[in-house]
Amino acid sequence: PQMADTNDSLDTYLNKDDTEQQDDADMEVQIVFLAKINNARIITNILSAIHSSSKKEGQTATVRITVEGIKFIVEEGKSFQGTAFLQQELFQEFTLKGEQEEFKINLSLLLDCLGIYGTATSFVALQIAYGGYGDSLVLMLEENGIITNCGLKTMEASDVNNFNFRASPIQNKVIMEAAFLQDAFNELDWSSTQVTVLLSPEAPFFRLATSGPSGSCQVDYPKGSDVFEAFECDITQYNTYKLSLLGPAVKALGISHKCQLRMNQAGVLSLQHLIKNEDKNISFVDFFIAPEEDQEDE
Amino acid sequence: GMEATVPQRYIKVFANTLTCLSKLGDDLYLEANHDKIILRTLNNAHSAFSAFQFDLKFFDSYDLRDNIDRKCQIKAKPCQAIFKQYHNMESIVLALDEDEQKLRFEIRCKHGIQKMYKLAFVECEVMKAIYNKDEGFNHIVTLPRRLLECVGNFQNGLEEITVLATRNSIKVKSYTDESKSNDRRSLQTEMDLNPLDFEEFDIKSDFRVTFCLKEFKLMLNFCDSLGQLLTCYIDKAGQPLSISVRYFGIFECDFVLATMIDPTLDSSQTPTTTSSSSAVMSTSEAVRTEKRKRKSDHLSPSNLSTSPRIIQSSTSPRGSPSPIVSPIFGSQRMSNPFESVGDPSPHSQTSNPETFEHAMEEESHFKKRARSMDGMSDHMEVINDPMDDDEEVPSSFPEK
Repeated sequence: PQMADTNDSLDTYLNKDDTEQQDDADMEVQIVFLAKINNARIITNILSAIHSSSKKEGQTATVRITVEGIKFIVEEGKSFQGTAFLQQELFQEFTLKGEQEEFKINLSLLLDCLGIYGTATSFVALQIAYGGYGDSLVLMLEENGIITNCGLKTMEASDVNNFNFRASPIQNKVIMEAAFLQDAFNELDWSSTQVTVLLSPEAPFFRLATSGPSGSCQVDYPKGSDVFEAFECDITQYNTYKLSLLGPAVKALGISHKCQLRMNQAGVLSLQHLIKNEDKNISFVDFFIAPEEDQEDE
Repeated sequence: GMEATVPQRYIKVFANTLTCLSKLGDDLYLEANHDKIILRTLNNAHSAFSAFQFDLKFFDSYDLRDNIDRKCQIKAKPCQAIFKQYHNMESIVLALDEDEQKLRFEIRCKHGIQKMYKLAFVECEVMKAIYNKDEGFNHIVTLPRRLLECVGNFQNGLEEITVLATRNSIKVKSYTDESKSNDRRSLQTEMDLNPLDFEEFDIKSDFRVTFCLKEFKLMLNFCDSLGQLLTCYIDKAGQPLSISVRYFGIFECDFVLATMIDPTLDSSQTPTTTSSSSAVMSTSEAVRTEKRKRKSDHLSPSNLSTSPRIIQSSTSPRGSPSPIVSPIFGSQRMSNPFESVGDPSPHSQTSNPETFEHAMEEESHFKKRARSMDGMSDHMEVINDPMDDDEEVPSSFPEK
């Protein structure tokens, strides 16, 4: 596709806006952040990995923009956090005035806007503009000469949980191909409410277990198995997590290539997904899940 | 108490068995004897029964402690999820843990993966169905695929199907309830099959039987996955029909379907009008199944006393009486198999079968699995002559 043309048309459109607004003294055109990408699908793909469509009003995400890129953070109480990082290298243009911008946005609506042209295979060019505190996040999407403008209200950013994962020693970590880990989770009885994850340098090495009214189920992956790209477990650790909180992380395995699963001494489970983008770049999506209270680490 | 190991080559059969059982009924009944394991289920409406028998030779190892028969029942539904994906499985250990009161499936998969499922069981008595597989009855032998292709022409959601056969004809029709003045189903389908397409077609007395299509399809799909010919024994309206498949002498399954009593007949049969079905869990006095190779005497009635139990097949929205379905449990005299049915209702004229939309999401799923079964025969050793002398075993499974 001839991307040059579409970029030109975007610029023209933007400049046109500026010209028209110059006469209006009350209007101040101020853009603190501008980013352009030729293929919006890359963004949609990564963001959908942390998006959970279960909420009626849509899911809220905290957006943090720095010179390195844009980070989207979703949370569930104090027990769950998912982050997606869109590094600036993904974008054809990435300009930020100042050091950081932070606000909250309706992630479900954002994804709806990004997907406005449907799931066609043609490229949708995207421009994101932000005028600073209080302003809307303005999206401009173009496909085959058709341009759509969307303005999304931004909300006050509140504190996000800091799981501080690294603060507690990380003694267990494994790396698996996403498909294998997804299979393991799919074997579980999803009608149960909880799942226990065990990591150990000794048998059974890696175990997922659920137990519910129908009975119990456990899946063991031994250390030497070729499902593991890496297996580094120093101590025996097992913790129980709410199965529903693991849902998004497991769902994300569907679009990721590899996953690193880690457990720190506090029992927090971290799943880091490596996503291979269409443009051959790599992006990361992280999930942190806190253990259920009554479990103790060994 | 019991432990059996299924080798890799028979995993598909085992997994398909459990999936079929879990789709047919809510509970799965297991009986472990010194020389075989039998899994049975009965559907909710009590109109469909299945029994799967695994010979000792099916298993790599089999241990029954103290050689005492074990009988128990578990919820069937979890099995559906457990055995849905079996292509990675390398071996399955089925074990009855009497200390924990749990039935255990220990599954070893590729890449060293091990899975263990424990399902709570309760002890129970053996449940059996009454049916006759006497070859003196009407019977047909065919590839399950033929029947699947035939029923594939009937619309999705059709509840019952009618099969009419004479000595040299066989017709399949969608069933409509005449008593319902405004049958919702405005589409009726009818198909003639060619008796010559069957491996065996032996109809001694005309019949017209109506039974549940959904269960029939489930049964056919399972039989199709085995890649063997099936034998269907049919008597007449009101008597259960049965479908049986043998698998190289180490595994066999029987399906029994209740059929509707023909309300147009006079009653040498005893159609007691029904009220709600009672839960029919017969005790160990239940009638035994009889299976003979030669023309035989009638089944001797069992010791069971009571009057035949009638099961309602489906409730009618208008409150008009539902079709009465024949009992497959309880005491019963088997009627003379040679008694002519004398169907008074006119057969519809033969016409070219019209093909309508195909139903079967379920079937396409099974079709995919059936295709993958083709390679199984390479691993089989034929223990006994699997079929009766006059039945042919196809040398290779027909390509689809």
